[in-house]
Amino acid sequence: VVLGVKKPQKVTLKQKGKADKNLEFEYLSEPGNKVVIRKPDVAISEDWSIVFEASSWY
Amino acid sequence: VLIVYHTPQRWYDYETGRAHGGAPYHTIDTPLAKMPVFQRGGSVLVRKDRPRRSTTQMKDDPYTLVVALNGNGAADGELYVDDGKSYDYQTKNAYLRRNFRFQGTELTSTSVRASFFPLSCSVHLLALLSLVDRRRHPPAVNSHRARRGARRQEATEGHSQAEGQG
Repeated sequence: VVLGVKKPQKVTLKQKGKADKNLEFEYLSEPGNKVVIRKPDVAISEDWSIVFEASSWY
Repeated sequence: VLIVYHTPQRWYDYETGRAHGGAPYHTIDTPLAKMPVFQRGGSVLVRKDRPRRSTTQMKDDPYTLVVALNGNGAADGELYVDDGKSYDYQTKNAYLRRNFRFQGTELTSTSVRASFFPLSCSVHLLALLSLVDRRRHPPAVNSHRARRGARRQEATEGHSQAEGQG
């Protein structure tokens, strides 16, 4: 079993009634494997989803 | 230096996001400035990270979401917020209860119950934590029982965690 995420190629924010938006992100492989998105610009009270696209995710 | 025992799940260092998996005992360097606090794999924590003198001052602060994946690449967490002082949460449904779930390659934010609470706080940071763990035990060759045990373990890992506003 191989675990963990690799670096995504694209991170997209999806919200109803709005156009999809590409989000900028940072990938840190040390320590741990971490994807960091600064200012995704969504309200905590809203419905949304964020899709991480990678060719091989695990 | 501190030796930490971890239950057989993944645990991530609260500050750095470094993952600890596999072996149950880990040696962790803990100088005076380091608190050995860990986040369980499979949980989503909703944090307010700006240091303040009181919770009242934190009211409008932005949120940080920390998504820590478990062995199945999933995580789940909840947030509850109300005004922190009145009974409006009872009489006027004035609260916010949201679920954050990571599954597959998607993080989704949904409302758990219909309620009305005007909260303008935004998410200013989102971190997704995971590890590529090559030291993990090789997949069990041995039959259904081992697999069933593994599944049960993951099921308990999928338990949700909640953190409201203090």
